[in-house]
Amino acid sequence: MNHSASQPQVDTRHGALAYAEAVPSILPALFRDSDPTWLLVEEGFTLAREHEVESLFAIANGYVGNRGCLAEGSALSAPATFIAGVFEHPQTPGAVPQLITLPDWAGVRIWISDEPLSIERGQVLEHRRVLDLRRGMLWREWRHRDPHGRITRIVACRLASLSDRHLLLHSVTLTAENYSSVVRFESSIDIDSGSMTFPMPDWKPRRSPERPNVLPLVLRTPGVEVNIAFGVMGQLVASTGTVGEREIDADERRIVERCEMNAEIGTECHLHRLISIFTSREKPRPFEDALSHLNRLLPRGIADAASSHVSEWQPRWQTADIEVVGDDSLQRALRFAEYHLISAANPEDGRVSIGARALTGSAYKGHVFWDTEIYMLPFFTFTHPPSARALLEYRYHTLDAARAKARAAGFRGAMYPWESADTGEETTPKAIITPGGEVMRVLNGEMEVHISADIAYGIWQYWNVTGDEEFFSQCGAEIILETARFWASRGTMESDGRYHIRHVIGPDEYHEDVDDNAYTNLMAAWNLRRGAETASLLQSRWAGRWRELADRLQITEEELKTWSKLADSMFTTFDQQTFLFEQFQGYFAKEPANLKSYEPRSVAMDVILGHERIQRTNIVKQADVVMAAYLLWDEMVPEARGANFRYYESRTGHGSSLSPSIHALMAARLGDGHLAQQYVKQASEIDLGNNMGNAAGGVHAAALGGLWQAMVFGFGGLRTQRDGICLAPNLLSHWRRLSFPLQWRKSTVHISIEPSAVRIAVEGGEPVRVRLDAGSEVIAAPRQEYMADRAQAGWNPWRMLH
Amino acid sequence: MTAAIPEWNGAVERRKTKPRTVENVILPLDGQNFSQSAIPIARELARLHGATLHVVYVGEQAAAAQDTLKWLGLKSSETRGVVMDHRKGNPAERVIHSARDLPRALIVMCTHTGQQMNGERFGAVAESILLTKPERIVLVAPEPDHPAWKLRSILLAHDGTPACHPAAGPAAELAHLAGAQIIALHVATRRNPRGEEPGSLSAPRYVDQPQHEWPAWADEFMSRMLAMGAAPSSMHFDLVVTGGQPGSEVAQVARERNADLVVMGWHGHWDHDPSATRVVIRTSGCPVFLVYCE
Repeated sequence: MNHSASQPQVDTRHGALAYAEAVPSILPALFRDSDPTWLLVEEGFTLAREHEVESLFAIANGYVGNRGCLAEGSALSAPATFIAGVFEHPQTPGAVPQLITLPDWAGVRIWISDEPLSIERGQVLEHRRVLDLRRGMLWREWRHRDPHGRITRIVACRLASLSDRHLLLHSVTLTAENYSSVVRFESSIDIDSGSMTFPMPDWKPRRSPERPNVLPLVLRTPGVEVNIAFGVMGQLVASTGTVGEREIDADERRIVERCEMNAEIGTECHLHRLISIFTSREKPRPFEDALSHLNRLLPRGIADAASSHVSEWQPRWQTADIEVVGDDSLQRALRFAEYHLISAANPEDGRVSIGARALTGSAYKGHVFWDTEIYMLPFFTFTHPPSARALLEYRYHTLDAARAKARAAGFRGAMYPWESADTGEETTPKAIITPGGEVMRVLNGEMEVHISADIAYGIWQYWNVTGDEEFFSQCGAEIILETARFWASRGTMESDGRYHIRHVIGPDEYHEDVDDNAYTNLMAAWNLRRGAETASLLQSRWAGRWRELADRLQITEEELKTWSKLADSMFTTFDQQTFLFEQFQGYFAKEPANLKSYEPRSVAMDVILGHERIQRTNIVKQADVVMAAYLLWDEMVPEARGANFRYYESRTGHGSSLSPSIHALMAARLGDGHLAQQYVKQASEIDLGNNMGNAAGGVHAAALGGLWQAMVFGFGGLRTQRDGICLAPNLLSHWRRLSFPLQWRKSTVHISIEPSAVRIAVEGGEPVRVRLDAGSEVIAAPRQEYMADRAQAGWNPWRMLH
Repeated sequence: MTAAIPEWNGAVERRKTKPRTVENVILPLDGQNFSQSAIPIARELARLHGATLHVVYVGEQAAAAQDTLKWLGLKSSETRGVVMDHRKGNPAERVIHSARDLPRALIVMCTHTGQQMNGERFGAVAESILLTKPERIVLVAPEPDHPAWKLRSILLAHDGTPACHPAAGPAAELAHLAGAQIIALHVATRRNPRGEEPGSLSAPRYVDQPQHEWPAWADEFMSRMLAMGAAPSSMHFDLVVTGGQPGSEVAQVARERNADLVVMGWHGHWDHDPSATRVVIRTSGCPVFLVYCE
């Protein structure tokens, strides 16, 4: 390679000028936030934490996700890129589909005078990674003295564009602080041996240093016919305008691009890279699409791509950002949660959903659980309905698989899988080798059937909040009807005249194969009633659609009457004296366990007691009856909400990351500030606290959604009704204000709660009916602000401010 | 609750195998019967490492060679390639000096010789040596005989803290040299007092779905241990997770699995968990290799 730098040859036809002019040496100043509550910062470098840090600092846009690994790698780096919905299907017995880990596109190694720059050689003078939550950008700042005394400053950023989901951007700026030397950047994308590739015979690399290049790479996922194409282009430019030399080494499995130049003392060298990814899932010719995509971007340059991305984040935060004044730690945790939720969803693709770890890690294999509809979906329903709709469309597109599962199990209707991937078929592993070493059957795929009602619940809530009648009539209604039909076949009407659902697992997964789990039965009854109501709605409002559905699904009036009857006959053990539901038949006879006697503890109770032992106790894994009390709040007598919360809270071990947030929510609604504070803190620390590696395989997406719900539905006290919303605020004593926006039908409602007053303002086209804690109500008109002051007992009536 | 997660096949970029880490094995003997229990272990470890075996004994007068051998309980056939190192003075200090003087030294010795241990404490010489925090020491409880000790199974006890990772390298090296099976054991305690050190990985607080959580956790545990412990990439570890009291649990697993050697990271003091390491040494039924971890 020629080490002499050459001057740029301006060629506007290919966009080189625009590209070179857009060198963002000022990117940090332009695109970095200064408010610490918008920043996640990892100072220094702790090798053992690397996998956790990679998860927390992941970037994603719902289509593609990339872990925040070090560009040059380390002994523990696990670089990974995932595309939503692209699964490999291993052919080994017992294996289940898993999100494919794509080649690392963010790897860039740097040589100073042929010496590799490594965090493990020499002295780290400064090192930090910063995730700008507001802008969705990952920054790295690294100042390093190498063994020769040369001090190099690196400022790098990368993003997964929210405005152009096929685009990834990577920029590395090197400053030679106290030396002049040849610097070389080497970036490579390698396909592992397990993936097939397709050579591109027509492609010839450009070796001209003046023009960026487009590099193709195509691979096919194992076990399925999905082609994935990478387009890559990079350019090395000095702050003086000098363009670096480029050398390309590429074959069908590997692209290596080496750029080098003479770095003068004090000058900056910028390596800019744009990466385009397409797959045959969405386009028949992904290679051509990747190439033309980059060629379209080329004239506008890297700064334009970054600006578009940042601009797209702005409205997302305007409709989502929760502000809590008086608790900076919680504020940051909330923004972290919302950042990862926004990053996880793709409103443009109704054939994918969000896995348990979103696109931030390979744990849970990208599988979709009830987590999506019960924990994450409300965030999208209330802040970005198009994303919520796309998530529900995934369930519609996999409805046939749910029907097939029901048929195979001897039931009718739609029985959704406990875990699913790209096809909607059941993907729960059949067995596990426990930490105790025994091979144990995993029963969730057969027995954790409440997910079908959970999906119906999510649809109903989405429809009520958004008023999206097109989705409801064309997609949602069919799911509600088919899941109702499933429940009508899943149980049995027994001699006691009650409808029993036996052999199930409720949310409390410590107790398997139980009869009449309260959560399952209550949600099934709810689903059956909504099924009958949906039929009635369709008949009255979408008669054509109803006739089509009734004909295709062969639904009779008799069947609809049966659903209502079964719902009314559903077995529950509700005690009119204590107001308690027994979690399942026989729960109250379980061996009592004193959870407090195991405190302090940092491991799950089933780890301490073992799988067999914990089943004999009354220890509950996570919110079960309490979850039912939350979701069916308005259908439960007030005494039952508090009684069941108090009873089960003291018996819950919180062995699931889904549990603390719901307990925070319920404690807040019930006015127990002490417990609410304890649980919201725990919920906010699931990924961010010193959790000893829990996040290494990816962030806990459902827990993040749960935290949002705790704030809005718990502390904000939001409940929805058919004709509007209701607020019953419960602020913690040290909070000075809690404010959040939400979408209601065609309007945005801004809610601001202070200890002594509540304010609302409606933005958009329609008035919104807002009730306050069973007190006064107002039909809030757009562009008006209303306020209610706290009274001695309750609230004074709403008044218009101007 | 004890058994393996045998299917772990996580790939990780590991550091290259270091050169052999033991060049000299120091075997203190004092002529007491108990001290002879350490002889076969020291000989075998020296053989595996290709190291020189130094028999360190202390006496005011040098005796005739045959008399010394008889006094120490050594047969002539056992002394081939052995350096007999006669020292004067305080036995513990002499052993410590030998360990400092000889490059890459490993001490192999009995926890006590003639007298019974007083409660949890070892013999005076062993206690004095441990106070100096030797980098590596193998302690042999003298009760069981080890007449033909062979290294076929190693149990690596690991509490999940970064400080214990360095124990993985020597354990893996020995397993490689001996062709031995190696089991990594993590005892999940309610709360590991050292578990809040940055980079610690204890058994999980949240097990959302066991069928996914445990494989992911095992992968992470092994990745950290191998990468930071500089274990050879070719080495296969079985991972075992148990619950209970760390000391007694490690000892129990060692006995159940017929471990020939337990390898543990050791923080150089007994204060934060006074009994765990001592319990393992006293009751595991096999020698215990302590790797000092700062």
